[in-house]
Amino acid sequence: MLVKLNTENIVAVLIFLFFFVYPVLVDAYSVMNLAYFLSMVFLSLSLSLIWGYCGIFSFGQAVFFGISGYFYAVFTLNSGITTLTPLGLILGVLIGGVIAWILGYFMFYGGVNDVFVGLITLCLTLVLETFMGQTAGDQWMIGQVNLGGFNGINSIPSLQIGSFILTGNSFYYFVLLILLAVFIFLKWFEFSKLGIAVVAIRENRERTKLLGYNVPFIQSLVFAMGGALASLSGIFYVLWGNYITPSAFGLASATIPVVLVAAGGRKNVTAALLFTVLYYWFSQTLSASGSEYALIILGLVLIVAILFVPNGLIASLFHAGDQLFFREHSKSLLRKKGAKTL
Amino acid sequence: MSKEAVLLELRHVGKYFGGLRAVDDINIKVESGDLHCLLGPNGAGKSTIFKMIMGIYKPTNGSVFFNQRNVTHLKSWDRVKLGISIKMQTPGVFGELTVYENMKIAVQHFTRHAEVKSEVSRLLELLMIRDLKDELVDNLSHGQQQWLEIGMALACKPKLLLLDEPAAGMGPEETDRTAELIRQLNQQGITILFIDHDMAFVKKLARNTTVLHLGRKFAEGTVEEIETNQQVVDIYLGKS
Repeated sequence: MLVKLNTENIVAVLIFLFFFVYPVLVDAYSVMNLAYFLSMVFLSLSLSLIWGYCGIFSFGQAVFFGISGYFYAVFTLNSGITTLTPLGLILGVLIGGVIAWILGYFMFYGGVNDVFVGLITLCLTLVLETFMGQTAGDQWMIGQVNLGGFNGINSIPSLQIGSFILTGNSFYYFVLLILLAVFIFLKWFEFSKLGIAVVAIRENRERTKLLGYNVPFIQSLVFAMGGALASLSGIFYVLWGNYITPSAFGLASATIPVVLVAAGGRKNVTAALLFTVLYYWFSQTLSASGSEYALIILGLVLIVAILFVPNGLIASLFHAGDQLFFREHSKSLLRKKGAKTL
Repeated sequence: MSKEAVLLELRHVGKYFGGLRAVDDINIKVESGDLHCLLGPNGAGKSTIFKMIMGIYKPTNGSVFFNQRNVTHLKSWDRVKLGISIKMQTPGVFGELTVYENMKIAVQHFTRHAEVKSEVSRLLELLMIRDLKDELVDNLSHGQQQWLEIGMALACKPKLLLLDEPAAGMGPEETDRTAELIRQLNQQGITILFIDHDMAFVKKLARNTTVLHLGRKFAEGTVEEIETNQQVVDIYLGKS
């Protein structure tokens, strides 16, 4: 598939070029900050995939984020063998995906959809936060690892491939390369056979069933893929800070990705990526005077976005750019790729 | 009617919504190759029967057989794979996608990847809407949306095509074109069961007709027999 020349793709290329040269331009602290932002981008992309592409509205990405983060911590600390950390990462992502599949299976085959998925996943997130918060004490040991209640788990080992420990720039580039791979996959997926079925499900679930598609299966599959991406985010977060606490399951963790994706443009992965990085950068910049300001501004941006640009701020800018520079006037959700490349 | 020739059979099918008997103890047989009409006033249970044939509603009692196979408990998508396809009463097209994209969604599931484009072109040609392939579906007329939806139903390669009011909201010219299309599809070997309450349209097309009234089968026979059935005339055609 040829890459189409449009505003979004040009911006995406520029963003990734910028990310690749960023460590040359700034100090190590800023690089690790961006590594953190990029880790959180996976969470936004997971929501972009399930909500933006497939129409499944979920507050539950924090569940998979937290579970896999905790799994990686428990697995690697118990094994004590640092060369097994990549296995911890792979298993953590798989476990997140499998749990999402099981949850999705019961919801979608049980006919649960729309706002009820949001409610169930939000409840699950909060239940897990409460549960993990009370795990202080020796009775909450898994192997040699104490779950640690509100204090969570500290000193979680960094990723080690062979004898090479990924910290600093190497960790940053590792996250960036995986992000690039995931990003390219999602761009490809959007126009794949399954991706087109997924868009059909988002637009009209009942009709899609009547075209012979096993809708609950596809929904469960996409939900599992979203769970795996959120898990990747959780494990990168753990690798970045070497700790995890129950706040990973908290209300903020559950809602911020939803707001970021909605305000940036939920049907557009580049918009989700860009808006997430901008938000976390902004949040960090304001952190000296209290990061709550960032949340207030994010709230205002969301209100403005919903009122005036329901397709998202960044996605609308892309669309305006296309009209201005590429004379692209199609309003098709698949952006008129249909006739030529679909 | 030999047993092998029966493509669709409803046996004592009923659908109750609480105390309301929307469909009650219906027995219908549709022969392979038939062009069969379900006729009846609003609220007779016609669309409910279609939804039970497709698996959108589960019958409260009775069974649905397709090709001698009991499909009562099959999901909608499995019934589509067996060869039942539907155009619903209100167009279920994807309004924010182009005509081509709509057709692609339908076609890609039943056609090999390399043949998707040619199959979409063939169907759009058949429906005479090929010129509209890059048009957003929301911009199409009601009639064009109905044809597109028939095209999407055909993409599932059906043996039995259910058409719920295929000519609803169409002008005389579009209605004639739709009738011609349905006749053509039937001649190609697709069994068609359609709902309508425009008697003139039914007369143009149907070979066999089942009349429903208040959820029950009221009469059945050829169009000529139905037309001359005094009870049908009284309750349905509004003649005194």
